[in-house]
Amino acid sequence: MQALEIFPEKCTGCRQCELACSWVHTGLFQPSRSVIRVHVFDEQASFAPYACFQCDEAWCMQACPVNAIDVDEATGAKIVLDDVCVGCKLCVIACPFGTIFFDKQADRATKCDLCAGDPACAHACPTGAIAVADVDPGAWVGPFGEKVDGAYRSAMEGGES
Amino acid sequence: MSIEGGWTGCVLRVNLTRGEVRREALDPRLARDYVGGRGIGARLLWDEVDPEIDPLSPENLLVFATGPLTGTNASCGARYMVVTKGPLTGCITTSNSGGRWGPELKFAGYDLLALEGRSPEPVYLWILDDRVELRPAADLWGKGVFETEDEIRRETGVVDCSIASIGPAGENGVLYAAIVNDKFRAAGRSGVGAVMGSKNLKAIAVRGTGGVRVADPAALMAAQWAQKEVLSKAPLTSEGLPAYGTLALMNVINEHGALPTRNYKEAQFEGAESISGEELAQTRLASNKACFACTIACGRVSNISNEGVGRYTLKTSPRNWHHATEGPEYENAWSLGADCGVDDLDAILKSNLLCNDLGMDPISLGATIAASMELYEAGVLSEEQTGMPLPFGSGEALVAMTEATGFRRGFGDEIAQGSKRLGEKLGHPEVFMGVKGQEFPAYDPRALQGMGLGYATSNRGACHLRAYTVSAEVVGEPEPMDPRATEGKAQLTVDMQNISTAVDATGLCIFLTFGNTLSDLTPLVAAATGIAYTDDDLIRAGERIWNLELLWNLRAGIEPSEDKLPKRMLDDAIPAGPAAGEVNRLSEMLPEYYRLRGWSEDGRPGVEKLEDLGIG
Amino acid sequence: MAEVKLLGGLRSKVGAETVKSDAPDVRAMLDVLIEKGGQALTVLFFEDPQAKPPMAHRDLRILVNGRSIAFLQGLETPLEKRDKVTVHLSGARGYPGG
Repeated sequence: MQALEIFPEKCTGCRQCELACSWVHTGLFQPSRSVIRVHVFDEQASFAPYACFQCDEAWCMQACPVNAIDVDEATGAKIVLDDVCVGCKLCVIACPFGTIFFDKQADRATKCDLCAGDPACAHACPTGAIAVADVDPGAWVGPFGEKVDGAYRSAMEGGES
Repeated sequence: MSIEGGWTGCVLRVNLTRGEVRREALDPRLARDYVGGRGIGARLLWDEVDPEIDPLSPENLLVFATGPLTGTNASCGARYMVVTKGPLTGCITTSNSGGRWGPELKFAGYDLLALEGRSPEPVYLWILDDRVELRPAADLWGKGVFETEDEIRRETGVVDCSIASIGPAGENGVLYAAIVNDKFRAAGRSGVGAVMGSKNLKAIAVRGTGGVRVADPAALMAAQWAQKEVLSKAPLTSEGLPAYGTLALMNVINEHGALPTRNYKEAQFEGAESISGEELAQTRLASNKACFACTIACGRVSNISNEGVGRYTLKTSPRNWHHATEGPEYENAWSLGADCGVDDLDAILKSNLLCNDLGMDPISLGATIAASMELYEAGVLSEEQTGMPLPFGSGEALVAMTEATGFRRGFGDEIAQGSKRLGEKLGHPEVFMGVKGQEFPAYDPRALQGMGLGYATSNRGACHLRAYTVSAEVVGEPEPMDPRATEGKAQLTVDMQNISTAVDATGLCIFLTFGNTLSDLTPLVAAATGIAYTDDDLIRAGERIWNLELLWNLRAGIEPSEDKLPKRMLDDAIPAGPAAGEVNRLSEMLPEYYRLRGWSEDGRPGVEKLEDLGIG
Repeated sequence: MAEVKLLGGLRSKVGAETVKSDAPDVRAMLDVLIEKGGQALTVLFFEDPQAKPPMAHRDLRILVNGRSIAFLQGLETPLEKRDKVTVHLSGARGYPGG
């Protein structure tokens, strides 16, 4: 099963992934409609691109009242069926990771669909922080969180408050 | 003609006196001829501002100008330019910044933001797509940049807005106050922050949910892949800058004997290694970092050492100093370090952080502290006047004076006026190391002849970015030129000024030129705008903008006789090091420069030249 | 012995910040660095390491007492006992700064 493989230590915060994602989906450079978002941590010392984990639980799919979220057979990605979605936003509430969005312009839910297996964000990333692979999608989050949390704690202890 | 892409086609105009907002269409012909950013900003000033006004009066116009490529996925596509009359120099000033603010303005739907007048009360401007409003900022006034940003995010509830603001330095009219965006990026020079403060404008917060369209999407994608391919192969843009940042230059320039030390008295610094990019990478660097859309990522994110945190007491700033801060850049570490004789990296980091938070140009600040140190050591300034010992090399004095200047307290009030006015006031004008009121950056023109010409002829006062002859004289690209020679430097300077101006106008960062040539850039501009620009078109646009800026300066009363260097550069030879015995031979280069520009012998563009460039 | 100072990324590649050398000229001094840092340095120092004699790599920057060897005698620049040599890699392309 495919998922985005993230190497957050390589991320420089450049947001080329956001530009590529919005470009392939909307034809514009429009980060607000990208479904991959770069988050800033640790007073801008760390960054991580963050998109749908394609989790096994698929909370979005479970929450959807009209079966508008399906599994792409080829990639295993959870995808939104645009012509079925009614824009109720229950999936947005249900996702614990905040990686499914309501697109006001399209009036639909929108999320990472792995670009049918050839993600634009991975191509656009200049440092190789994003790849697509058959991996446990959330595996990077734990170690990254520990590192950021650790840096924060040592900063709080180390300096004047 | 119509706007097909790149540009949004909309200029946002705000009258702060009346609290009115209006939108104007961007004239497509103006956009074509002046490209964007610096160019269109200069045109606005030319058309609307009397060059003789007081820069801190309501009559000054404060323009934030992006380019057609700002907000696209072209690499280095983050830039905007602040264009206004500069309080430090009295010249037209064009101050460039990166980060995320420029693209966010484009996503909100605007190419330029022009602010006129003066608000009766402190305000900040809130832009959320087409919702534009002035909001009270009395609670924000007095706060540093970091706290201002956090507070505006809390107040608006929009966490991912981008904010450009001033700190106490801009509020207090420090003549080289900066406008800081995204906490750590700055439109730094010539006092643009003081102009913003004089308008009672504390901040401009933008959130844009729109997008930037381009005229020819397929051509743009091809051009940006090509541009990025080049950048990823050039060693400097793919390895050197990400690893060491601009601070790689500290050791390089020092080894050339061109590192100005102790207010330009010497040209090599014994402490260079301690404040070098190598030292930073080894001991303080947390990460490198990119501006929006940049595939180079030259930014530094640094920590002050544990030991350094406790060493300098500060009266303000509740922040935890151990947190990462962005910087220092080469120019900052030089002016706060070598120019002041300071080799304590923690002192430099702390002072640099304060410059970010208080909103000040570290170059002019460091240079003015250096001038003060020279006067202190010469006995012209007493400890009674300065409030504390101010010898060269004192990290404590550096940090204390940085803070004092931002708040204009004690001797900081004197430092806040810049080294030209400070020197003149104390009867020692010879301590001013700069041109047209603006202090030199970090390259000794006695060791690098071309830099002397670039400093003297820059339209915004002494500046290294307008004609970075260091490229040829030190880096050896595009071809090595002897730094001791004056031959060929005039042509190089003219070419670099024209091209760098064009790059500025496109909204891209000048650092792309460390990998790309103009031929990589032109297809991007053409594809985005749908206008069939050639390389020559862009060079001519650069020349057009340069001449317009100069004309504006002439009307402001800045005579070509101001294209000069201080006596120390022309008469006092470098005392030691590889360039010992050298002075700058400006007189060998300046006449040829005027000739190559097509100007008269006394440095003025004639009517023919202006008509040829299409300047009305 | 001449003192050779390395800058930037070359420090970790050669394995030192400064190296002492009694090589008679710059070309021989580069061989001293290669001996210290390993054969991998040859592709950084020379355009075509197989050529005889190999020419300096376009990114190689060498100063003798603060003067670029481009304005001295190139790789054949002689070295004296008290000379200070600086070696670093540049790597700019395009039209830097303009």
